[in-house]
Amino acid sequence: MFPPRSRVPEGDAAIRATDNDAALARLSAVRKGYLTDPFITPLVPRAHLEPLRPPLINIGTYVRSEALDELVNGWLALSQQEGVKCQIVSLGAGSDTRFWRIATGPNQDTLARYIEIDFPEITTKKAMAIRKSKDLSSLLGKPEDVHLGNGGTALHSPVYSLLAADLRRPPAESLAPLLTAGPEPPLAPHLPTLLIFECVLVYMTPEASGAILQWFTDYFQNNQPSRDGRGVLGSIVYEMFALGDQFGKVMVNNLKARNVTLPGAEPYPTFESLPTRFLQHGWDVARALTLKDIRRDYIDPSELERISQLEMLDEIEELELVLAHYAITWGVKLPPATGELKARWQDWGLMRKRA
Amino acid sequence: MAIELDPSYAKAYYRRATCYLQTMKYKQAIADFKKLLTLEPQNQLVRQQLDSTQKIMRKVEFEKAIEMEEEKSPVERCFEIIAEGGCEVDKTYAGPQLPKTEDGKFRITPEFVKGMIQWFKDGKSIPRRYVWEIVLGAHSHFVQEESLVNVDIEDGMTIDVIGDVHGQFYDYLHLLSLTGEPNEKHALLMNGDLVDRGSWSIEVIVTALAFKWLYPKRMYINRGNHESKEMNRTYGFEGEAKHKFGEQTYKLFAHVFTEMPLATLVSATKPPAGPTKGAILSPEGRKRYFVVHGGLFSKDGVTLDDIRQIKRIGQQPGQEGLMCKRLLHPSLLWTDPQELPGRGPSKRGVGIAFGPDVTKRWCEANGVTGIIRSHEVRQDGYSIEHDGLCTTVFSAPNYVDQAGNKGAFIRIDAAGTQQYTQFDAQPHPPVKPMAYASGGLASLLM
Repeated sequence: MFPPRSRVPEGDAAIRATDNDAALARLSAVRKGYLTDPFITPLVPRAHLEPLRPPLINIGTYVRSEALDELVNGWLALSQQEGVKCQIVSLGAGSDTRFWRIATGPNQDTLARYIEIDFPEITTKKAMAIRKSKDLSSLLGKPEDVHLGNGGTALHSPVYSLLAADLRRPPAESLAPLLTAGPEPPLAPHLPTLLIFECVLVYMTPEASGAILQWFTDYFQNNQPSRDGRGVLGSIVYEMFALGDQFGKVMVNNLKARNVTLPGAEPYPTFESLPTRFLQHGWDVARALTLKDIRRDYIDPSELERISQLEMLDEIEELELVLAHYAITWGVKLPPATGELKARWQDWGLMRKRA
Repeated sequence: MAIELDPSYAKAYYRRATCYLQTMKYKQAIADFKKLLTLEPQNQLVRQQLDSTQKIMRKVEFEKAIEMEEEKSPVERCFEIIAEGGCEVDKTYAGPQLPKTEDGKFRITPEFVKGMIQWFKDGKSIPRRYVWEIVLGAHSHFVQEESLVNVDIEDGMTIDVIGDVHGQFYDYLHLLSLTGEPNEKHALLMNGDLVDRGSWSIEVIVTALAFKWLYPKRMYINRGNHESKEMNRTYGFEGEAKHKFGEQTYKLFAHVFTEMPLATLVSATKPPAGPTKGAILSPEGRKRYFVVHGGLFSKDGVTLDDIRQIKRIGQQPGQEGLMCKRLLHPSLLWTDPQELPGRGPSKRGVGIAFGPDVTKRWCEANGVTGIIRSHEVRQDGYSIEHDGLCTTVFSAPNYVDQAGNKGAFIRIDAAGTQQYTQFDAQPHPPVKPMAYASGGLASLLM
C-alpha cells in the first residue's frame, strides 16, 4: 500500500518550487498566529486552500523570520544613526514581503532603494500579483511612477524594483546590466547597502555564490567617493548547513526526490566554517548563529511563551535537530575611510534576550 | 373503521390521510395517498398531496439524520452501518478469512491473525469490514477496563512491556518474534504511541487490536499521547487511516483511542527474588510497577485510586487540558522525568518534568516498586533513571529512519524481576516516515 504521489518539477523549476515552500510556510505561520504579515496572502495563489504546516515548520519559520527582521531593522537603525538612507538588495527574493513591511513600518523613510532579483518566471508572477493587489501596489508610489518592464518580468517604482536574472550566471552578465549600468544605475555605491540571501546561495555552486559576493565587494570597494562615502556593505545569508550527518543525509535524499540539490552546502560542513562565507572576501565582520541558538537565547522569553501556546509540539528533540541545521550568517565590509563613519556598523548583530 | 367495512371507500382514505398529515405521521399519510391513487388514478389533487408529503418527509428524516450523527458515537454509527448492510466484505477479497460464529457474527482466531500479519507484511490490505470488526472487538474489552488496569503476574507467567512503536510495522514484527505472541502463560503490554510518524501505523494498530480482541486478558494497551486527534492530524495517522480505509474508519479509531486505559499496574504474585534492599514493595510485600506512557503528575498526593477513577472515554487532550496542569489526564501521557529534583517546565513547552524526589515520594506513598514509561527516544532502547525508580522503554529502533537507536522491551516475571532485551532496526519497504502527514516532508525549512 503506497501513499498518494504528486508530480515533481525538474531542473530550475524544482529550485523555483522551493519558493513556494517558503511562501506556504510563511502563510501557515501567519494563519496560526506566530507572525503578522498582511502582505503574504496576495502573493500565494489560492491561499485559503493551502493546508497549514506542522508545528515544527511554523516554529522554524517564526524563528528565522524574527531573526532576519531584527537584523534588517538593525541595519536600518544604523543607517539612521549614520544620517543617510540605505539600500537593500534581496537576491532570490521569491515571494518575500519585506519591502511592504518596511514601507508600512517606522523605518520607511530610511529606505532609498529596495531591489528584488529572481528568475524571470518568479518575477513575472510576482509583478502580476503586485499589480492585481491594491494593498501591494498602493505602497509602491503613485500609479504613474510604477511601470512594468522587460516583457513583464520587471517592475520599477521610486523605491522598489523587481528585476529578473539568473543568479548563477557571471555577475558581469546577470547583475551588472541590472544594477550598475546606465546613466542612473539603481545601485548607488556610496550608501549603506544590505544584501539578503534567504535560502538561495545553497542551490548554486560555491563558485557562483562566491562570484556574486566578490562582485559586490569589488563594486563598492572601487566606487567609493573620496569624501562622504557611506558605502558600508552588509549581508545576511540564511540556509541549511552541516549536511554530512545522518540528519543531513536524510534531508539531501528528501530533496533529491524533489530534484533539488544543494551544491552550495559543501564548503560549510560545520558551524565554525560559516563565517568564512564573508571572511574569504576580506570582509571585516562575520558572525553566525543557528536557528537552535537563536530560539534558545535570542528570542524574547515572553514571545517563546506566547508561541508555545499556539500549537502542541510533539517533542523538542526533533525541533532542535532541525533548527540546528539552519543558520543565519551575517557580515560587514567597511568602506576604506572608516574614520568618517558615525555609527557602529561593526557591532551590527542580534541581541541576546536571555542572560 | 369505514375502510374496514368498505376498502374501496376513497373518501375515508382521504380523510384518514389528512388526519395523519396533521399529526405528522408522514409515512402513514403517504401509504394512504398511494392507496387512493390506485383507486382513483386520475386524481391530481391526491397526486400533488402525495408529492409534497414525500418532500416533507425526506426533509424531516434528513434533519433527524444529521442531528443524530452529531450525538452518536462512531462506535454506534459503525454498528448501525454494519446492520444496514453498508459495510460488506468485497467478493473479490482473496486474503485470510475472518470466520463466523453460528449466529453469523465474525469471530477472531489465531489462524486469522497469523494470516493477516503475513498479508500485511506482503503489503496487502484487508477489507474495511474486518478492520471495523477488529476495532469493535477490542473496543468491547477496553470499555470494561478502568483507567488504571490491574494485571497480576501469576506463577509461571511473564509479561513484556513494550514502548513506543510509532507505525514501524516491520520492526514491530521483529519485536514480536522476540517477545512471542500472547498466550496462556505470556502477556504483552504496549505502552502507547503505536501510531504516527511511521507509515505503517494502520498495520501496527490493527494487529495490536486484533490481539486484544483475541486475548483480552493477555494483551494490554495503554493510551499514548499519539493516540489522540491533534497528534494524528499532524503526524500522519489521520492521513494514513483515511487514505487506506476512509473517514468513518478514522473516526472509529479516534473514538476507540479514548477508550484505551491510561495506565497499568503490573503486580508480582510471588515474593521478590534476590536482595530487596531499599526496594519499595506493595502492602502485600510484592514488587509492582506502574506503567504509563508519559509519567507522573504536576502535584503530589495523586493515588492509584485517583487514576483508576479518571473518566476518560471521549476525552481528547485539547489545549486547555494540557495547559491546565491541574488535570491528571492527559498529563500522564505527556510528562517527562528530569534530573534535577522537584518539578520543572517541560522541555516540550507544555506540561511539566518531574525529578527523582517526586518519583520517590510517589512510589513510597503508593507502594510501587518503580514506574515504567516511554514517550522519549533512548539510544539503547531503554534507560534506568531516578536511582532505579523510573525506567524508560522505547521500542521503535532507528526512530523515523534517522535516530540510529536500539529498541528494547522489559520482561517481568511472577516475582517481579525485570529483564531487558534490546533489538535493532529491520529493513522495510521504501516508504518514508510521515508519508501520509499533510504538509509534506516535515523537516524542511526552505
